[in-house]
Amino acid sequence: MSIETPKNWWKPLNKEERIWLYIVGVWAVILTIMMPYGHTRDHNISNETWKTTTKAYTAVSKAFIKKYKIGEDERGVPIVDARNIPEGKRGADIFLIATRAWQFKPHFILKKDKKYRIHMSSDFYEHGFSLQPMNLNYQILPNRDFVVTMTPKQSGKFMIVCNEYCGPGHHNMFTTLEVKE
Amino acid sequence: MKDYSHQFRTCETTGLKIHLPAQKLIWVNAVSAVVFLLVGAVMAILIALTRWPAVHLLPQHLFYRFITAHGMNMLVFWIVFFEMAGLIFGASAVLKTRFPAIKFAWFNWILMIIGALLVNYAIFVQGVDVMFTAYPPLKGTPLYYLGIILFAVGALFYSFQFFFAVGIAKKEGWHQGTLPLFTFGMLVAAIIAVFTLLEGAVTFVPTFLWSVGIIPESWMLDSTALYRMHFWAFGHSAQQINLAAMVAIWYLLGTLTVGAKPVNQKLSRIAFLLYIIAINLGSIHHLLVDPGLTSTYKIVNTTYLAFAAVIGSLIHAISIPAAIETAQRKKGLTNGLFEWLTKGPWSDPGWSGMIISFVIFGFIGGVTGILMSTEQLNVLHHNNLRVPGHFHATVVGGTALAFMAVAYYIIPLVLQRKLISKTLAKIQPYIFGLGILMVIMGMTFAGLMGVPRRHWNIELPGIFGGADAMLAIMGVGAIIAFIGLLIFIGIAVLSVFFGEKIPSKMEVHNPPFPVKEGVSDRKTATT
Ligand code: HEM
Ligand SMILES: [Cu+2]
Ligand SMILES: [Cu+2]
Repeated sequence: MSIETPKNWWKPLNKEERIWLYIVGVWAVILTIMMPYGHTRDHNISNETWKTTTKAYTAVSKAFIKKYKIGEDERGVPIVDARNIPEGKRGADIFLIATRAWQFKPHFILKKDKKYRIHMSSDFYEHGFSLQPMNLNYQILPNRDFVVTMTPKQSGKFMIVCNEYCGPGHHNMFTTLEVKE
Repeated sequence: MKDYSHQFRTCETTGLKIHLPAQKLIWVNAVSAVVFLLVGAVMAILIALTRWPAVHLLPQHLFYRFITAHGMNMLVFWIVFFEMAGLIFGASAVLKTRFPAIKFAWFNWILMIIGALLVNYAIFVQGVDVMFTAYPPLKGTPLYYLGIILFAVGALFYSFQFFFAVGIAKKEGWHQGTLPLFTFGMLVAAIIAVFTLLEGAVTFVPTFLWSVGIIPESWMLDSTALYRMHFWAFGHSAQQINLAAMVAIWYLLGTLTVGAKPVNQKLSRIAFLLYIIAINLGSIHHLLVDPGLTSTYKIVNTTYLAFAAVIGSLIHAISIPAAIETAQRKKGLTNGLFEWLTKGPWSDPGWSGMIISFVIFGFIGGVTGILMSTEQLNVLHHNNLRVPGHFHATVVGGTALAFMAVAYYIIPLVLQRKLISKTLAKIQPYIFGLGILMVIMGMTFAGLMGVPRRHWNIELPGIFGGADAMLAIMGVGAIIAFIGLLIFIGIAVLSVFFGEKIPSKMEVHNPPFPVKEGVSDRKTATT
């Protein structure tokens, strides 16, 4: 009984218990190997983060938008055409900011099959970067510049939606990411 | 030593000796738990109906406020108050001992109840809507953080008191030998609670100081990553407390419903110990897509350390059914592989609640949890509705249902009241189980389609139309689960206050293993 004081409880395991333990052990080993294995196959998410400040990142983002802005979309979000940004060796740097007024900026136009380094940070709250419909999700923190490298393989319209609760305007946070040939 | 021998009654069914002052404490903690469950349940139905796009009930500010209220009242107040009742029961009745420092225990309860009321005041009156995670720079009011701190301090004191009570039971000769398995499980829960609640202090004391203006905002802004780590060292470990308590209660229910005996106590106890070993670092699985941590760090923390706990759970996953099966076979239910299960007492809510909670926790909660905490897969889950889908399987379909199932025994055996309606009790676990299963499935599959959690209106981005059917399943399930909760709350509250009294048999009960005269004299002299 689970409410009785056991007399002699240090007993050897019976056969079924031992078989089960072996199964569990093997399974745990498989799982334990799986993650480092994915690690070697480059299945990890980005490991690149830079320290920044909300002020510095805001300035970088402003300059970026100013340089490549080609207009505004119907929600008033600046559209940035990032198709011709030099790719360099590591990819073209583009900057996403999540603002205190619950907006993602900018609305991106990317080029298919071009490698991009998407920088993401916030000027105040924590936010979520959720790329749809791929359903890829990252955490955005203030004072941290998180860099995710991606190469769009498919043209079309995608959405970046905030999926970390960031205050009363949370549900208004989304922006468009267009991929063109 | 003071004479406590007249403060006991004997439980007719189990033979446990119940210390009456401890019984009052169990009563007050259990009743508090159910009251907060009611608040949480009302919030649950309102937010669920808001997330169902066809209904979309609440305005935005109330939606976020009520999620905050739902999270705190359910995950923290209902669960923890109930666990405090479990700690007191495990350290008194099960050991057939007195519960020491009764006044201190009441003081702890008062701390906790003030804390819980302050938090609810902050949410509903002051309009705090920061979610239970309260990631800075989202800012609550000072009372919000103060409430959490008071509540946590009360719970921490209760954990210490649990250790003290076990010590007294030994010292005064009430109990000798190994702890019964249930108490051992609760001991594990209390040990994890100490670590957890200290992490809670590391998280919420600085946030409190920031909310009253002592710590500057710039510090908090720079510490968001650090806050997340400490918050989850607290928040995830708290789930290990729930886990240990729930498993202990499963063993208890096995005993109460069909007289199950743990097959191998050594194995079960080792499994409990694995929970302690694995608590703290496994929490990193909440930070798998955070900037700033390396993959190596994440992998180390989510592989072997987390899997130690998983192995623990898998051991219980065989030893609990094995205990039940053995007990049932002894009664002659030996036909086929599963007669022991199919001919179980399915109209006993303790049994049906236990089995349903076992299945939902193990098969759905466990499997989804393992998927999500895989470093490379987490990017597909983080912060979408699959996450609430997962933990409504663990902490709701699993823990909360197990607590309800055991409450059907606690009320007559410990609180000495007959259930006001056996018929309703009989069907309650099925109703709640079905409803919460639909909630879990709806959330999980909507999450699979990318629907974010904690989101007031997913129609705005205009891309989640495909998930409407899933969210409708969640909504209908929520109504069913809500009815299930109301039935439970109705039975519990009405029985406790108006149920027929079960007369108690007072009995003189002295320590069965008296300490030698001289020794006990010295003790009274020093204390
Ligand atoms: C009738 C039963 C219940 C229903 C219908 C229900 C429904 C929900 C819904 C719709 C959400 C919001 C999901 C989102 O938008 O992110 C939620 C969140 C949550 N629920 Fe429940 N729930 C129930 C019971 C419980 C219980 C018993 C517990 C705890 C023991 C619990 C713990 C939580 C927690 C911790 C959250 C997360 C809050 C947050 O994101 O801050 N729920 N629930
Ligand atoms: Cu946001
Ligand atoms: Cu947000």
